[in-house]
Amino acid sequence: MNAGYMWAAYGAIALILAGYLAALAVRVARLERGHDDDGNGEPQP
Amino acid sequence: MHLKRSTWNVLAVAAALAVAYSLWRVAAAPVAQPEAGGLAQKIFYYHVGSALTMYLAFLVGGVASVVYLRRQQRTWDLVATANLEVGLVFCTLVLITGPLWARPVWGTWWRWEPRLVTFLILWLSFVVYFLFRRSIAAERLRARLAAVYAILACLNIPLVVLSTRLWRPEQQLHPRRVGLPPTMLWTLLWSVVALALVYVLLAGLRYRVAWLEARRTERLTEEETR
Repeated sequence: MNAGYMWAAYGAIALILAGYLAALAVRVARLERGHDDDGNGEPQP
Repeated sequence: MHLKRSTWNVLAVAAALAVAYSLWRVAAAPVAQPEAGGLAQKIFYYHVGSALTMYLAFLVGGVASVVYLRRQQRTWDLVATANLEVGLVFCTLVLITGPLWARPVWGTWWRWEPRLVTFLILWLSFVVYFLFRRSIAAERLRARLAAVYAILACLNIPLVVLSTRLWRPEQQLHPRRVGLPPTMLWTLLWSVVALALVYVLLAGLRYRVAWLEARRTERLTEEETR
């Protein structure tokens, strides 16, 4: 009954939206703490 | 959006509850006949929901671009970027879920028909929008040119929406009109509500990122000039 297509579609939606949301939340948290964006986790001077 | 943390939490909980309820409705909705896709037909709810949310995000982004050109205030450039980026994410979801629905129903992943071609052009034009933004360093020039580009890219939206009516039906698999029984219609409406709440949450967070980055750049520039 084509369940594989349905799971693939909803899986892709969940993965992309959850991943994007998590990335934005982490970015906001880092910027609010004053961390740099170069990925090394060092605080800004 | 400069919202209180409690407001963010309420928004996130509301979005999570709406998504959970809409998914329950999708699961409970009747399974279509095998020739209509069977279980794969259930992709329809979030495929169409994502498309409607994408139109909303691009519309807000396009209007913010117009307002930026009139007022030249940085806030509107940030609002436009945030909404257009979230719109692009939903546009990508539509492009992924569409072929997954089309394959079992129409027997093909893709067809070069008016709705799909205009939609692909829409996706590409907003991918280029973000490449375009990255290529210009001067903030005001970047904001102005990006606003003009965004407005031009948005002009394709009516063409996407009306494509099934503007071209002959023999050329396309997408129907001109979709009639839905009430159960399916309510399930679709709940999917749209859930995705719209997720969109508000994402656009709000993306705006916050853009605002914090702009403030940081400003601070660094001030320190350099001192």
